Amino acid sequence: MEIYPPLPPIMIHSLALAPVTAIVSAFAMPLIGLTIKNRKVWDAFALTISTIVFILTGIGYATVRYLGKPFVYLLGGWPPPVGIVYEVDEFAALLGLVSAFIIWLVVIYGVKYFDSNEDGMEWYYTMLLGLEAGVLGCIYTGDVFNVFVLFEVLSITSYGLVAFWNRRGECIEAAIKYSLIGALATTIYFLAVTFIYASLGTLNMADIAAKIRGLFFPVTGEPYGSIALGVGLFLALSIWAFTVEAGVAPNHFRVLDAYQVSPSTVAALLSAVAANVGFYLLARYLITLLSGARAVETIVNAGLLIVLIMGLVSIIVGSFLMIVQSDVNRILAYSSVLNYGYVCLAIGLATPLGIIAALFHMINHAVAKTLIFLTAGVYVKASGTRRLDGMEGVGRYAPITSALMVIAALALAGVPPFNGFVSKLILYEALLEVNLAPLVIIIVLSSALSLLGYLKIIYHAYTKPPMKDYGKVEPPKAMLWPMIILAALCIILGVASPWIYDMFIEPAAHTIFETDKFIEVAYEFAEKLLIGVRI
Amino acid sequence: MANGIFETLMLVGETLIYPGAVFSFIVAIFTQWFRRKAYARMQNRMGPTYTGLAGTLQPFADYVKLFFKEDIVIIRGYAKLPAFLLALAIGALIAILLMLPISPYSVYAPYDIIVAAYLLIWPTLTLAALGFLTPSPYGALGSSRLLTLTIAYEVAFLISILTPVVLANRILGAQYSLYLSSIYSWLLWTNPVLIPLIIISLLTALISLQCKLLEKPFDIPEAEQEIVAGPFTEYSGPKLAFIIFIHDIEQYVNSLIIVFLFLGGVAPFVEGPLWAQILVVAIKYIVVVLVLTWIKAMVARFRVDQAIKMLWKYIVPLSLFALIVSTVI
Amino acid sequence: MSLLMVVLETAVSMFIVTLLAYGLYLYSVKVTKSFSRKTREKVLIYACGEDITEKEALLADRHLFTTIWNEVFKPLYDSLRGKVHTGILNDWFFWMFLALIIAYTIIIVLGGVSG
Repeated sequence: MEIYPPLPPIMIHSLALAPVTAIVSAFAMPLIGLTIKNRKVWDAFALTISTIVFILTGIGYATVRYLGKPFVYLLGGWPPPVGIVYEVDEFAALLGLVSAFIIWLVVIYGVKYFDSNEDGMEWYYTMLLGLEAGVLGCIYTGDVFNVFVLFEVLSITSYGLVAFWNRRGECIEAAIKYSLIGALATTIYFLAVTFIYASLGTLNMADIAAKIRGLFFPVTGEPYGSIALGVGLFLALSIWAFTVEAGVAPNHFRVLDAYQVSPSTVAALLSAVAANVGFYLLARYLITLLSGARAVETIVNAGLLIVLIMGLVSIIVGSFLMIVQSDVNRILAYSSVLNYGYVCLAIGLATPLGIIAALFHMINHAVAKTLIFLTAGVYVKASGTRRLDGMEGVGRYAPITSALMVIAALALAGVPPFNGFVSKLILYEALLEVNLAPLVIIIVLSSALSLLGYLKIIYHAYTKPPMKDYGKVEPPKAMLWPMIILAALCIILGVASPWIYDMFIEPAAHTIFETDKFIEVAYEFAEKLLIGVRI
Repeated sequence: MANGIFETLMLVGETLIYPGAVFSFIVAIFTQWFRRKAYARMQNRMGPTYTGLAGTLQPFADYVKLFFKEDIVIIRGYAKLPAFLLALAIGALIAILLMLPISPYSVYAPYDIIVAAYLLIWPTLTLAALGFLTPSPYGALGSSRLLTLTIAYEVAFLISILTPVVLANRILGAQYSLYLSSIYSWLLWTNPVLIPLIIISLLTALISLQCKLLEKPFDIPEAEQEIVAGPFTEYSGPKLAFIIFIHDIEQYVNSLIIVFLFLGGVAPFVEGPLWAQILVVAIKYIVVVLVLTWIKAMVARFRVDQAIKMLWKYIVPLSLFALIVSTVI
Repeated sequence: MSLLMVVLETAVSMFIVTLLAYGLYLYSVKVTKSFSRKTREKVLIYACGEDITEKEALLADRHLFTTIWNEVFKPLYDSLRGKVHTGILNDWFFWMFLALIIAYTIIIVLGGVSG
């Protein structure tokens, strides 16, 4: 019996091809850079690859939608518990699509953002494509150890990206901080994997989910020793690693410097795309893998509580420290910490509405934060400083960019017609549903504070009269169009939210709770292996 | 389909006539006149007497006068943007009216209190944005004061109005809807355990509303001896008329919310005739306005740090206490 | 009726009133244009009769928002610093532990997280 209906080859392979294309071209990029010393060729190559990957993720999303159940891709033809597999449900596919889309726009923006005599652009593209591979791999994979590998790919490329302007001391300092703490996080995650492997004897996600629930899964055998202890250590360590990766409050220190000093494109990517991986994995592990299992119920509830409290701390820290900053990128960095807090809070609730809020806010934050980082990049480039006091009225020379910046700021602050409002509204609903009304106040307060922070940027950069002639500030079309697309998305996701909610967000968020389907599909593949063994 | 068209027409009609723009304008004129008259009598003055019966049309005359004055835009200022923001703020305030029981066809759904909260914060943010849109230092200073206060009093006001909503949800199943809570809130007064909570939150709501309206102890953002008129320094003509109108209608909407959520709305005549219900709501509304005017006449202005200290030290914790108790009880 | 529909309906009504008010503004500008006189003094920044340049009218970033906060919360911070920043590690652990306990208590008292 076939598990899936017959599909055209492109649909079958698209999900695996997306990260593979990215990583292969990332390794090809330095070679191209050695042979062809022409910036335009490099730009064209990176642009082509990111477009292809975006299309592939789109096809992958369509495949998963069409199948209506998680899509399992066997790498090398080995079935689940033995080989490494990609197991993609709608949640992952949607997130992958959004990530690839954002990266695509950032690549287009970056072509003109970096000066034509900028050093080391081939390395920038290498790192960027590597980051894309890491992000997509982490999101698509169905194997706990493969997550570690791609997590390392993601981390190492992001260290490189932060240190891109390597002639500046502050960039090196930020990169060192970023990489030291990041390396600690990946190592901690490696330890977590050893614990789960030691106690369950498997690294496959579906297998782990089945074993914890006491279900039978072929080949890997019975769990060893106390499940609760192994799973508890695994959970504790991986929550720590993922919150470091995402930059949630007690672990947020490394992201601040990194977002502050790195190029705007890099800051946008790290804030909007790389951080989502951490949240995705948190939701996947805490809810799909472990939630609802009787043996580890207490541990998982404690884990959710910790995530929720970290989210709260993140909200408070982010919003209060945001308004005292006087550096554009640092304000935006704290705003990222604040928004990570919302997502963590929503995941910590672990209700269907909470996950919907988390997913929607991840997408909305990705869109709006990318937009605001890119517009701020225009200001910083024109005025030559990141300090608010040095950029009086620079926005008046770039009316379109300023309008886009206002849209992004309002969207992030959660003002009604824009997208940020809708996801916050769902988050409020989720909080009131579990009777946590006082937390609503904290979110409203933090929204008001964050609006103050964005208003500071708008006041200094736009409404203050300019003190000097900045010349031509409005960026070329290649930089403007990605921003206009993002701004349009901010409005569409907000205005058309009832339909987008019904069509995309709710079904996608629902899949994170469908552990049965998640196990079942992998089991159907594993069963073939079992028949083979018996024969 | 016909039903959908009828509902749309109903919505437009409500927005424009009752309880929307036209009715709000009449109530705003009445409120301003009443407040001026009461304030004057408390200070042993006459108040408006000249236009209309006992000066009732004086606010209307003021509006007309301002409306036909020149709209002066100073250099490096913006002409259209502030006007549009002000128009949006008026729209937001009138949209809240549709969610209250005074409108014949109310818009409501579970959890819509959050939408109401957003609409309530909107005018304040608009007024703050006005100050930042002029190059005048008074404007920016006033706006920064206003926003600093906002963080304290909007939070306090929101916590205060959430308390009866949470209680109504937990005890009467109102599902965090502004409309349903307004209808059921009078039942809360029948339970002696809940009365202290309602009274505490009513008190904090009144004080934070006074701050929201930028009235006497809290008129720091437009302290005329220090920073001229704060955010409104450089605005004249129709924009000033809009600003004053926003002030009046903010008073109207917020007082009405207090009447419905805390004072029980139509309470003694829940089943009773329509005219009695209208009369009761009107009387309660006038009482709320009178109390606010009385506070204004009684006290002098705080310094900005005193105001923030007071709000954060007493009002916010007190209202938070009531909210937490009402969530747990 | 769903929550998002409420948002939509209130947005529609907000939009109608906004159009109305903005139309009124435009009408007023149109009417008053005929009898307004342009003078230089009218459009200068108002500064209580003083002559100030645009540069003098600018506010630095540090004069917005945070000054008031710093002023208000300074005593609180000073007293906290005396108690928390003692430089003894055990004190620090104590405060962190206390914060954790408070956070746990709040969440547990409020009904916890439904799994």
